[in-house]
This record gives sequence, C-alpha cells and structure tokens, in this order.
Amino acid sequence: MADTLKVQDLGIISNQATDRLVAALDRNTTALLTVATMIGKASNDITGGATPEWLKESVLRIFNELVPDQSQS
Amino acid sequence: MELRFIRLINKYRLAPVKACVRFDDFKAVLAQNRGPFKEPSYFALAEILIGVIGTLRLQPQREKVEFFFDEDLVSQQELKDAYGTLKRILPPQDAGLIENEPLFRDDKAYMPLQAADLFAWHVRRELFERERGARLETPSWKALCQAKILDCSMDRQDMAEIVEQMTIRWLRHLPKSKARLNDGGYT
Repeated sequence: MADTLKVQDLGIISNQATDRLVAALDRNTTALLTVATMIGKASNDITGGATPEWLKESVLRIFNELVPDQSQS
Repeated sequence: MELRFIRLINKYRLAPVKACVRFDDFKAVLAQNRGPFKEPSYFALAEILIGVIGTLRLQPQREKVEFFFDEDLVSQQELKDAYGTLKRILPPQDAGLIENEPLFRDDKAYMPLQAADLFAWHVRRELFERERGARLETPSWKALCQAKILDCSMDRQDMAEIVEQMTIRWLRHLPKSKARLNDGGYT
C-alpha cells in the first residue's frame, strides 16, 4: 500500500501523495525519515543496492523513541 | 582587506561548503508548522553533515571534523539535539568522523566563522544575481571561487525525490500501529 504513495510527477510537488505522506507522519519522524533517506542515498552511492541493515535498525530505534506505540494505548 | 582575508582562506586550502535551500522549494515539499522542519535550517545542517562525511569517507586519512556554529544565531540545545540524532543514524564506520558535540563560538572573535559569514554572504548574493539572470562578478567572489567548493545544495526536485524514496524505503519497515499516525491516508 505504501508503495502506491509515490510522487507522481516531480514537476508538481504539492500533489496529494506528498501531502498525504507528510501529513500522516509526526513532525519529528518526517525529519528523521527524510534525513535517513538522505543518508541511505549517500551510502548507496558507494555500496549500491538496498537500504543497509544498520540504517534500518537505527531509524527504527529512533522512530520508536519518537512515536508512542499506539497499539498499547 | 576582504581580498587579503580571502587569500588567507585559499592559502590554507580551506574548503568552503555550501548548502543552499530555496525557501519556496522547502515550503512546497518539506515544511511543517512545527518541529525540525519548521525552517530549512535543520535540513541544511543534514545536507552539510552528510556531504562533508561523504567527502571525508573518500580521503586516504581518517580525520575527525568539528562543526562550529555562531553562538548568537542558533538555539544551542535544539542544534545539539538535531546533531545528536544525525550522528546516531550515520553509518557506524562514519559516525566516528565527527565530534560528538557541535561547538559554539563568538563570530566576532573566531575567524573561521567570519570566513563562513563572508562566504555565505557571497553565495546568497550570487544566487540572487543568478535568479534575475545576472552573474556576480566581483573580485571577492572570483577569489572565493578559486577554492574547491563542496556544494551540498538541494533543489525542489531533489527534495521531491527524497520524499518519494522515503515512501518506498521506510513505510514498509515501520510498525503498522505506528505508521498509522493519523488519518493521513495510508496504513
């Protein structure tokens, strides 16, 4: 489902998909995921391929700190 | 006086780093009402850190880098928090390349910050000239451009690509109960 939320046309930035994505994320996690994506992109330039495990783990760890677990509320 | 200062910068092979973020671009793609993306400064900080580390990674020697900030221009605690978060998500092999804490100095007394101010003023002026179809042709700008500039700038399309990658890269990894933060339209 998440994969359908792509920016359809990079020339039109304020489209619904982008707005929905950013609106759906907490303000701190938006910043976190943006920066993590930048780091992933920078490291992929060297290693190639998918998101490295260390990056996934660090992001998830920080994400868990930033966002309360709604399943427990 | 200004040109003498620039000659000094070039003599010691200081490498200027720039990260330009047009406010309109940021506002259209990433800006939020509150939090780290209320202003583009946190994003620009990330651009610079990632750009500098990416360059250091390619150097034969592993030298640690320190980041200095004008003590009057930033909220020190907010910057420390942002810097700390950035450091925690860097590749383990790269995290050691930067100091644990950002450093704050008085720009009236600390010359590297004066050099940064001088460079920033010219970068901004050059952007302004370029946007109105002109070019900055001053001797100072020409002298500054003799140094090898590390450009970490991102435009609207770069930011949009990050957002697009963000959807693909992260949402599948996040716990569903947490990814559904509000009625934003995805689960």
